[in-house]
Amino acid sequence: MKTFQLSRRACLRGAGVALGLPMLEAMLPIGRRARAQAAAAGKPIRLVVWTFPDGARMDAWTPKTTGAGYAMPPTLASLETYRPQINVVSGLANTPASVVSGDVFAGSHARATGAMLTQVPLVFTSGANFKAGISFDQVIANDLKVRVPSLRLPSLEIGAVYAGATGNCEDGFSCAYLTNLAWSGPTTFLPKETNPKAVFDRLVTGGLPTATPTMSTTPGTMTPTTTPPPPTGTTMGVDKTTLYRKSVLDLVAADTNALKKRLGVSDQAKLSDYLDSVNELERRLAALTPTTSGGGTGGGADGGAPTGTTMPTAGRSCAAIPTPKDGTYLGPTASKNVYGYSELIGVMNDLIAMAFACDLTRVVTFMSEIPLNTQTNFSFVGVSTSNYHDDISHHGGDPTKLAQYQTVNTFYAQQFASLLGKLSAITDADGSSVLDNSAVLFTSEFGDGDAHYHFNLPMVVAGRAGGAFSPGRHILYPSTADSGAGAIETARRADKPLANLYISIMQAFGMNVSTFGSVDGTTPYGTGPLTELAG
Amino acid sequence: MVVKPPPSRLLAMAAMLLAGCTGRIGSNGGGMMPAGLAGPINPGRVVAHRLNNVEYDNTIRDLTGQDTQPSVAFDFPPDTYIEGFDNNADALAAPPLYLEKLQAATEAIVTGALDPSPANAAARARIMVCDPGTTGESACATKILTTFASRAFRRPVQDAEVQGYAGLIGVAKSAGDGFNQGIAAALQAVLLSPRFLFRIEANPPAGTSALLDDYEIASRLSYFLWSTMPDDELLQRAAARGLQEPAAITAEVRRMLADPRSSALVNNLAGEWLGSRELAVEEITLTDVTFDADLRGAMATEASMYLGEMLQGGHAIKELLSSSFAFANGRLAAHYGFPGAASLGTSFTQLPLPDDRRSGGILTQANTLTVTSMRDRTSPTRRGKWVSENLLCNVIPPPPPQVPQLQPQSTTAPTSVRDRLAQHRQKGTICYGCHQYMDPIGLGLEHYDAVGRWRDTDSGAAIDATGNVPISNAPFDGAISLAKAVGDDPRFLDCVVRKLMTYALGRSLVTDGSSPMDDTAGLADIRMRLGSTAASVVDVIQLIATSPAMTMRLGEETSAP
Repeated sequence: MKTFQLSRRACLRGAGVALGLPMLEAMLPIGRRARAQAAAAGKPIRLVVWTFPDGARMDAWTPKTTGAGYAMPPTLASLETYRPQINVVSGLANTPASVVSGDVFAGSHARATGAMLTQVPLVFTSGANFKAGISFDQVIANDLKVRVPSLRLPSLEIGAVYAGATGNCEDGFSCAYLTNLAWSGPTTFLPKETNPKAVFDRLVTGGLPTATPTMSTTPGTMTPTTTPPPPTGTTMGVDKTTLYRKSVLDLVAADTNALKKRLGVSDQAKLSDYLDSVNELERRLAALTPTTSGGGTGGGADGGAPTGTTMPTAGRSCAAIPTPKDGTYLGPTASKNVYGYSELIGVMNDLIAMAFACDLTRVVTFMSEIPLNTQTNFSFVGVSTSNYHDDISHHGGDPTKLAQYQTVNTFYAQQFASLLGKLSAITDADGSSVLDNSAVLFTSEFGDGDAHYHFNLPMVVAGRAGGAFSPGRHILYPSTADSGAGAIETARRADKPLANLYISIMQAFGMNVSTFGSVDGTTPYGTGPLTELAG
Repeated sequence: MVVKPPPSRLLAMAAMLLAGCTGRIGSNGGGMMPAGLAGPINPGRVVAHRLNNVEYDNTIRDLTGQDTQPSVAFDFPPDTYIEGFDNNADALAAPPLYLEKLQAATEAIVTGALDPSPANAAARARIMVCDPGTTGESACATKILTTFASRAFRRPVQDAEVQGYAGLIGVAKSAGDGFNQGIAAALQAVLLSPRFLFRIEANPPAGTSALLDDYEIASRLSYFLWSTMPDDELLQRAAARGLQEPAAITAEVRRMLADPRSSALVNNLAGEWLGSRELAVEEITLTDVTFDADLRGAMATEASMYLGEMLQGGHAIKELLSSSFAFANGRLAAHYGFPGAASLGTSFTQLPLPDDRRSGGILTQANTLTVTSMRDRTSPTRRGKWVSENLLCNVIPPPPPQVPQLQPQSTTAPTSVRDRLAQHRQKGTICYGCHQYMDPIGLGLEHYDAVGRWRDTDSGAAIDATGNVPISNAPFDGAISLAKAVGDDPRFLDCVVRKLMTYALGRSLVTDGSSPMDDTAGLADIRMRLGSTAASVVDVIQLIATSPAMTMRLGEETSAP
């Protein structure tokens, strides 16, 4: 069972200090969980975390007044259309990211990114002993696996820039921290998919191969012919294929279990992770097979996700997007770099919308660029090619760089606005819009990128989360005043924790959660929801 | 005669000085100990090692005879780089996304391997080693599966071990299919088994070290030198218990380096250590160069061929940085301004250096110079940082917040990069602490522009490429004397050993005394046997291949204490 792996994994890396994880809903007894879920019955709640790197020019981001009726700040101008559906939330802090041993400046991007959704401090390492914690999106995904097992994927991790082209990460901190948002356990990060065609295929098939592929015997020309069926209600004959897959995976699971018994604890942990993946595929195989899940197409309010390989049609305006081009923006294979940057982001937004419209998954994390990325060229929005995103975020007050910084921030706000447009246009099973039933976060790992602040973060919370949130306002939490040089990286315990926002979201999902994350490894960091979000 | 501190003292001093660039001791700056004082050598252990994407593709190629690069065709998630290498066992996870791709690839691989068309007859015959019509289905299935699994698992498999897989024939029959469908499913199960996908070694009693068995050593060697499974010859040597003696391992290493499969070692080191994989995504906006796929490819090829020659030609470690030759094709020779470039075609040849503009080593190769530059200008800081971290193994901390990066070139007041960088090197500034270790080396390479072409001036000012190597203080004027100074530096010897060792083991080295698996003594032992950078690159590989870290394993508890 997934839930028991938290404590198991947390103890394995025995660096002497076992990180005390706060009580999570996933660890609660079944009875309490059932009660928590009752609160969410009737609404399919969804989550998107949509990030851009290197912080924001905060004076152009933060509204001047609070409450309703604020003037939309210049960077967020493209969100004006969605004013009734968003809250701008200012003053949140990612305090666990500010905890570091050794050089206080080391790994600032990596710490902030690795702690963003996990809300725990990271182990300071450039080596293999990296360790964060489970991220809140995965806490939700684990719950959905139990509650809505027929979802194609428990969660979807996507990005716009391929992580594997370079080994240059941030000194002293592992690449694992910098390039991933989602962590299913303290040592298990979930890699992102950056090829839209591959994302499309996964969504349609639940990550299961759809047909017996063939391949040429000519070197280097294998082409997977796992082209998924058009998601319009076509049913495939899967019974025999499913039988084989299940038999093969059963055998692999048995093999893995037998092998584990003879090994040392770290090898056992490695194989346990593999077994988890095997079990997850078996779970999906069972959940997506008509004979084991009752058959028929879904479309009910909650728990009405599609079953089998039939795409749902009832209840939601579910429609497949055209199959995206097979390729990347800046991937390792030059011939496959067929996308422009904004084009690729647009397709990823389409895929998020499709995933929600067809209820294929309810949890998405999207990382546009990798922080510190020195590849993306923003000349298409008028930023000098001499300047890299991270470079202009180190503006040092230079007016030219500040303007360029704002331009890049504004570009991302436009892309985010485009996603909101897509989500608000989809009618959900309960008659409201998909955006109404979602919590869609727009944020970055830093506040001001010049100072590498982990506080006063840029944050837009879009959607009503099924009615749990009351949007249309600027909510401002006071940020601790600076106490001079050297204070910039110190932990901001007095600031409103980012973790509280996540508690609000988990509660909107019907989960009985009241704490999340930790700054010191024992004391909970987030201790309750952001009550102001409810209105 | 000037009395110099012994190299080991210099090393220790370097580690101290660089810790945070502030003189503080105790960060992760290296912590080297003098050779001979490091105590007993501890072999450490590598956690169950998932084949990375390159290793998987190569292994499938050698197992099935089909070079189809499934990790590319099926979009496997990228492997994570740890300390510059993507074969670190701890970081090679198998999350659900990975297993999804793997399962799809496995089905395609088995279908391809059993393809009955004549073009695939030989590969199929290697798997379908008997005829169920004559030997009986049960006996035939056992034979097919023990033969295949013994290669896939890289060690002999007994009949009893494959009965589970053979049971899939019964599943096929129950589904109305035949023997062949059952075998196909069984082969899939073999290829999804952790015994294929992971390199797993037996666990000695906790706290004790034991020699690896011959098959484990065979796999260690083949994944180090070839990034693929052992070939039949290596497996036969293991079967004869012929890999326990250092001399036997040395002989195998010699054979394996002579095999074309050792290009995997060369290409991975060039791609990861020397950074040529970054060329694929590097962007250059200079208008007077066509930075197309041909040029990127030529730069990467030169880096690989030069490293290959260092291995195959028995060259000294210091020749990594200094020699009298280069590798180029017509395109790259023209890029470098070599005379006679027009007469060269698209294939690469070894050329004598035509002049004293280049050092004939990796410092002045276009690959190195390009991947350490910005889009439209050089960055002496980046180049110096690259040399410090990759050739001297001294990690430089990142810049503090609220410090602007170098201002772009002014349009009104022409200044050289050296002039603009001078602000970094003013003593007492916040920048000085670290930039004193980076900028001087990079300034020694200022004769090469952002794509590695020679230049005499920068923004109209004559290039001043003089300086001193940080810490050793060796003076240089330009790349040739810089290459010699770095090449003679004991830190370079140490660093080459560390880099190759990290790659060979596929794990992080521990040298700060924080763990019972400390590698300090093992590294010191190899360094001492090499003596200086006059030793050959092959010697480093041989010493690593026969070292305790490669041939032994420290046992671990079998249940959490």
